[in-house]
Amino acid sequence: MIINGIHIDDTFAEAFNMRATRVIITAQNHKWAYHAAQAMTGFATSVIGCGVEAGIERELSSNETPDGRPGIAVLMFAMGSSVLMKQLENRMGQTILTCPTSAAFSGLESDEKINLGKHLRFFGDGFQTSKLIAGKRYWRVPVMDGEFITEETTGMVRAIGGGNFLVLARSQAQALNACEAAIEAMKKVPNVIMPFPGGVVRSGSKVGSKYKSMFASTNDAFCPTLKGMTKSELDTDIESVMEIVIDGLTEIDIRKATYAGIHAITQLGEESGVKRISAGNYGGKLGQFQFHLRDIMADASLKEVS
Amino acid sequence: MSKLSFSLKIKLAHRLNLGQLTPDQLQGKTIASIREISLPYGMTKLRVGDAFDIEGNDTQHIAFVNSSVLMDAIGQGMQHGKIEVHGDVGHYLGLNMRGEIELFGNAGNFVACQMQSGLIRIHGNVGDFAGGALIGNRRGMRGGMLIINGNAGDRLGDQMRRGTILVDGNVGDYCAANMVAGTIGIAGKIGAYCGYAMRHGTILIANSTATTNAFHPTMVDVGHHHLAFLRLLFNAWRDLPSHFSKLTSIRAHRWMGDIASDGKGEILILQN
Repeated sequence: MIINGIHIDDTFAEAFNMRATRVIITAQNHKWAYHAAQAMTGFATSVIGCGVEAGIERELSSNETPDGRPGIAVLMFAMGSSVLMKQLENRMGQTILTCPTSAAFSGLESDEKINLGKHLRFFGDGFQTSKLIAGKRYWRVPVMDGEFITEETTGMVRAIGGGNFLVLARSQAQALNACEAAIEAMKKVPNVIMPFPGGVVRSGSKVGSKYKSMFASTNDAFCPTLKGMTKSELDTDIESVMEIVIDGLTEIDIRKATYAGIHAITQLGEESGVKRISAGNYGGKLGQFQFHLRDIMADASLKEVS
Repeated sequence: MSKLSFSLKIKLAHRLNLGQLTPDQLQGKTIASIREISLPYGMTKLRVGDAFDIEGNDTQHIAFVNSSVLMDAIGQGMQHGKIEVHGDVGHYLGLNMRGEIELFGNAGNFVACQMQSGLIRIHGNVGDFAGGALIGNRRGMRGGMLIINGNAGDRLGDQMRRGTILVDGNVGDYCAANMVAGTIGIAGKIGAYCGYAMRHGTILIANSTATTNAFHPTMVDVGHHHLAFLRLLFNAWRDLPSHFSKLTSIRAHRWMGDIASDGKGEILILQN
């Protein structure tokens, strides 16, 4: 498959079952909502080293939030419910509770609940009070700037992490430029995050290493500086590869985001320097989900968001 | 299906207890069998058919028309369905109830007493102990919403545990006495000793000129504040048929107490 001169590999991204939640952070204005949300989703690129993968899903206007203030929707993914809850509570305590004017609310309706402010309330040292409003329990914790408001719980759902595609380009600058265009388009897709810095990761990994202590190491087959040294996947004119990793609430969300991203790149055409789009997988043996690039790019129903 | 309507056709001489005429107790009954139900009437009994003209057939939507202040316990213990009442009624309206009651008139004492959940709307005034507990009981209203478009008497929300009471008019003395939790909104004037012995809960007075002179000395002034949680409350009240649906200001003069009890309750006097 070739779109606008860019080759789409006949391969697939391999993705995994995860647990996810959405939290709505509000504040006096978007500036402070971003401060809180960026801190909360900081150091959350990969479950391997960070426990969770988290990111800002989108900005919310005042009429979209429970308390009528500007807000940010944050999505958080983990491999299991207990680690998700632990990370959420830790991050809430250190980044939302501490951020001036901020408040936190559930952003997901689900029968499965995890704690949001349930334990955080004890920071109030007995002065905390709860309010049951329209069937939801909120906590009011006295803090130095006034009161910190948080919902007691948020919903948790089954989700998918590890959707991805690789951008193979003639130069590093061209690879990054194409990825930036892809991320801009993918940010418009609801229910997904691209958890790496700026949405892009340059250190794709393979399973295993020559060193006993490492369970993952650099994906040498896609490292342009090793083309002649290893069993390379790269053509001679490719000098840089970057990856976009996608976590989404459902399979269709990841398909839509993948389509939007690749579509944005192919719109740039051959002159963008992008030669190929590929994807990372483990031979289909590890992940529960497979996202076949050619199948996605041939699916006209995914066009709506692009 | 049309609502099952009971129109009072006699002049009552004693108090009549209507606790048996609720949607769940009448469910599946024929009109003929409903006519034979015997209601407590003073020290005697009164057949439903001798007291009311009955029309309609929907037992899940009951109406009392031409009601009397001697009609007690309407909706007592009901679990679902709706009752509407046209005229004034006696005591214990909605005692222990779930479901919905709408009263186009005034009610006596103990309205919504020990209410569990659902909605009671009173277009007129109510007597004492609305949303409270029966005498000797320690648990008042524990869920749902009571909207009073008129005034309320003394001891509103006495020993209230949970739920919301909104009063568009004035309230009497000892409002929210012994309150354990929940929310009471008052748009008019307050009587003496508001929040006496309250432990937790919120009394919201949407009247910036409300006098605080008659608070008990164990209510503590904690100053003026912008309280963000009020936005959540106001949003939840936006569609209610009450003065409280129009509130926007989140600045309040906050009092806490009763420090002779737990002291975690609050009286908020909204500022414009």
